Amino acid sequence: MSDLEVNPDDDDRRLMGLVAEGDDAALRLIIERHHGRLVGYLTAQLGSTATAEELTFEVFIRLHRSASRWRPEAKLSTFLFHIAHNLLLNEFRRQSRKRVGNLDTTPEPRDLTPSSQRALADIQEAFALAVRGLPEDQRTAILLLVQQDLSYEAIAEIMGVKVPAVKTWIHRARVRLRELMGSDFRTET
Amino acid sequence: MNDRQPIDDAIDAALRAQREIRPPGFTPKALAAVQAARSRARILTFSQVVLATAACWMLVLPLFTSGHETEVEQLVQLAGEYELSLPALDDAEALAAFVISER
Repeated sequence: MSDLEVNPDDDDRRLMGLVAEGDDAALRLIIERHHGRLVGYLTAQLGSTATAEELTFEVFIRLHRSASRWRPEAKLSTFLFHIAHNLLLNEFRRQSRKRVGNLDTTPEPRDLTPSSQRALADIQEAFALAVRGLPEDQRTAILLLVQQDLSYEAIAEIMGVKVPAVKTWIHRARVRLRELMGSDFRTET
Repeated sequence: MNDRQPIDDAIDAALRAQREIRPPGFTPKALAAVQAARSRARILTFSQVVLATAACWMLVLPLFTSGHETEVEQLVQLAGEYELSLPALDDAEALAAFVISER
């Protein structure tokens, strides 16, 4: 790395210092840098980009609120996914209460897909459903590891567990996804 | 647990396919949401201070009007002592020392 290149983690730390002092321009840069991955992760978890977007707003509201208490030794991305994880758990609890109270389970309207893209879209939809069908711990662990490229240690910190538990969940998630998606992938190849 | 199979590459590729989703106009909307939350918090804090002050006056005024100035003076003195001890109370160890010394 040359002297002119800035390490993104160091730059995040610098920006968070400015956010703690009330600098909205620094907050804008942090949002710009991190929101895409958060929306991608939350969409995979929730199946709705609109809900993922709302939850990502809340992540940044909480980040701003806790900026003065943020520990600079932690990576900002780990901290953001930690907030997102806690918000997700609240959202799942809220959704399960809603399901118990409301028996009307009308599915959300889907985009119509042109027939030429239908097969690929069907595979992607089946895969997304299979991921969402995993138990919450397994889904979170495999998404953070593979989709978001985070380390086992960071995932353990985000989920508040030990590394061996993360490894077990990822192994189980892989076994389940192989079972669920085996036939679809074989027909594609 | 390192028993990777050929299908795992396809699963990983499918998982990575939507690593980032960037909804149009997200950043200004998120900034507006943060600023709105900040304003709400300020209004809430302000109204809490106003309510606490009003409640305090409602408690103290009747004492003044009914000739209980001595009690009021004691209350003010107590509040002053409490205020002086506040910086020390922020520190958990100082709080423990304070509690032990009070026994």
